[in-house]
Amino acid sequence: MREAEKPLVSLVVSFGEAPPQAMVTPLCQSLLELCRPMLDDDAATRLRLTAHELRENIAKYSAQEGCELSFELRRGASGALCASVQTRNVPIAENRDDVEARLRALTAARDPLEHYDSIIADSAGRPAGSGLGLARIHAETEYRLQHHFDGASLIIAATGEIWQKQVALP
Amino acid sequence: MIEAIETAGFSCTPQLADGKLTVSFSGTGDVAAVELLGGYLKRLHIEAQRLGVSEVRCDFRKLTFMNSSCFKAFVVWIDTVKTSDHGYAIRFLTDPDMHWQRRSLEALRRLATSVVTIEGG
Repeated sequence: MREAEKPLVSLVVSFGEAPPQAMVTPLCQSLLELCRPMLDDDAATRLRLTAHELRENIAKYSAQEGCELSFELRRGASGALCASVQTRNVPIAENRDDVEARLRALTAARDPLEHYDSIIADSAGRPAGSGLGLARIHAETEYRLQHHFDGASLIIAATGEIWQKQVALP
Repeated sequence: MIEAIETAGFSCTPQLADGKLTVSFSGTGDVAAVELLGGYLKRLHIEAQRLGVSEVRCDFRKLTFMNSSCFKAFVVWIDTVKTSDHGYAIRFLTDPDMHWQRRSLEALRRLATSVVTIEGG
């Protein structure tokens, strides 16, 4: 692997079953503390929100074993830092079509803010599972979401360019 | 008067002064706070109507983070106020150094521009 392709930070956390929801906040705070020396406050805030929403989703909506959370920070071709937060889980079967439809609508939306506003308005009258967390990532953090299925596993990746502090990086 | 509530890492503290009801939120609004917050905002709405206040202030300056489930509890509350016969204004007090607040609360303001205002940030 060439130097430029190596991640500056790479973390993978695997769980035998869906991680307890109570673990989401400490996990995200640990990630934030790890990256804080490199990120300005706004970048840290966006990363925290992205990581938190994705991780909470798999804590809430996983059907069985095989959950994985991963994070990478690397320098992109432009020289900017790129962060990637990814989750892998097997969604609850009855939610699979719904979550896929929501992700497709989200990534196809021409105006993320307009789409976000419509999700917010709809969510007022819905129980959990409105897709608000994913729409929030898309609209508030400017991380771009991609997803695909690998067999029964759903992989969601959020990637974004981030601003860095003026510190020496390896 | 509505009571203060506290759970691990999250609290809501109400104060009534000069006819204004202010609730100070602090800590992290995550999964541990969701149920508590949803119930609290329902009681807050009833209390605001009982007191006949014209404005409820939500002080977020010590709230470091809010997940989408807690955010949704505010969506439901604001939607209730917006469609209520005896509504009131909702003013969010924010810390400009907590960047998430401006972005998240701006989305809440767009939900009900006649109800929600944001101060600070």
